[in-house]
Amino acid sequence: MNPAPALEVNNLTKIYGSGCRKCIENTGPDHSRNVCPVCGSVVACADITFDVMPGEILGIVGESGSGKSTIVRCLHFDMEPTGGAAYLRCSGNDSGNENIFLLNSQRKRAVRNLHLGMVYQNPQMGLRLDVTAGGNIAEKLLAAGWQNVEKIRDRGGKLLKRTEIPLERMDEAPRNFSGGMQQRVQIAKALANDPDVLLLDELTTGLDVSVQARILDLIKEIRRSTNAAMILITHDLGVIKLLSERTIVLKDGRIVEMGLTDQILEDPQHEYTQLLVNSVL
Amino acid sequence: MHVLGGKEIKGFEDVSFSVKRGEFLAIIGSSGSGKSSLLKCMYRTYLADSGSMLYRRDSDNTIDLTTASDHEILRLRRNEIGYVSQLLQAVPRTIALDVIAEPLLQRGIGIDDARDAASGYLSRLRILEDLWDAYPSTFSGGERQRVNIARALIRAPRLLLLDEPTSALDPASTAVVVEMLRAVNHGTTMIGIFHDLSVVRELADRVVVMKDNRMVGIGTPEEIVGDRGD
Repeated sequence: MNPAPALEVNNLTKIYGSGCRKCIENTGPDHSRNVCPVCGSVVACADITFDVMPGEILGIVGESGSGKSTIVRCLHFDMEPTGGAAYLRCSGNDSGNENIFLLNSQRKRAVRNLHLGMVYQNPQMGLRLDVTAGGNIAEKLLAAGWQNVEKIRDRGGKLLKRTEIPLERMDEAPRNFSGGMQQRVQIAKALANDPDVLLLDELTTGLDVSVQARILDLIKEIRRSTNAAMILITHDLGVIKLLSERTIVLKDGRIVEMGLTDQILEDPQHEYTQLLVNSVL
Repeated sequence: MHVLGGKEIKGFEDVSFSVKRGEFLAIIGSSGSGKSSLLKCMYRTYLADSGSMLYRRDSDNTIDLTTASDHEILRLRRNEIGYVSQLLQAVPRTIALDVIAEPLLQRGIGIDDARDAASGYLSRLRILEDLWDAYPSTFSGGERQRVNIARALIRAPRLLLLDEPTSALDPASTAVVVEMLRAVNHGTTMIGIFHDLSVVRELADRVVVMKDNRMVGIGTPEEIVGDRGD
């Protein structure tokens, strides 16, 4: 028996602006633009279809503005998609056969609190920088239905230990932390509810290489020790090569290529992927 | 021919052959003749343009490696098909023991058992115990390649693809690698690219000759390599 995907995304589309009937056909890699020339709307992503297996890391690469972040933000309900569907098929999720984009806001919150984890490029978006590291994690645990203060604190300590934050700094606000530490607190928070789907948006961008390396090793460790399906957004092909077995290449809001990571890197089919690969190596 | 466990591979500019279970097929030919491309197509690192490559699985169902889904290929790579590159792909910040143990960890085997199995390989490969917790990037070429092959063998693959595993090695290291490959149990089918014809004579059951992206001959090592008087 083949295992079922943890997450299925079908034809996800996000248009900023009023939108018109010509938006989709007038944008995309064939036109090298994502702004509709008729109505001026921005087509951040369109017709995005993919799935992710439990325990798999799916990479999404593409240049700035290609629509990478829009995809994960829609999946995390940070923004509302213009069209498309996503199905979260994991145990304990009673909305497995429903398009999660169409759930009411209460049920969306439940899906997010119980099944999703998110790490933003900017820790400011994922953390309250003035609330203690332990408090940030407690917030997520409370949202996921934890009630016992002692257990919450115990779990918080374990998560921080796992992400290599010294325990004595648990009661300190992340504002005082280095960028790499803030990112590790964010990861600890994202893991708090044992997410079925973990969304990682440029989590090492802007960090220096030794700090990057430790974060990437942490993600590898998480892959080994959990069964979470992960979506890893990056513009760095080195990160993809290290972590993901399958990769999606985005350009102007469209998937131009999807395949095994080694195939994408060694035998890129789309002209844009070839450019991307050759720009790095 | 045996149907049971047979694998048929076609395509790639008139390349057609089949390999039986447990057979060792060597591919020889000059540089640029398409040997590596052929092997990479089998592993799906390259996408074939036409033709088919039929792989018979343990469960006896047949799967076309050129059209199988990415998920299916990943499952095969995890459980059945191994690939050994010319040189060890660096796994950064990972000690030799864990580089070899990693495929088992991916399969969900516990760290202690995986390391046990990995250390078994390291000692059989005659890698000094002092080096087990060192990074392979500091190893000599020969040591690194031994780690590379152990990493593929630890999965006990049904099909092992070898892309010039000995071409960067000195004679002593080549001998260790050849010995390792000879010791692989007979359930494993191997397809390997080699330049060294004496290695081909020692290992191969049959040999495919490539020239100008075409297959120009197939036969036993005696027929193919012996004729050349090398």
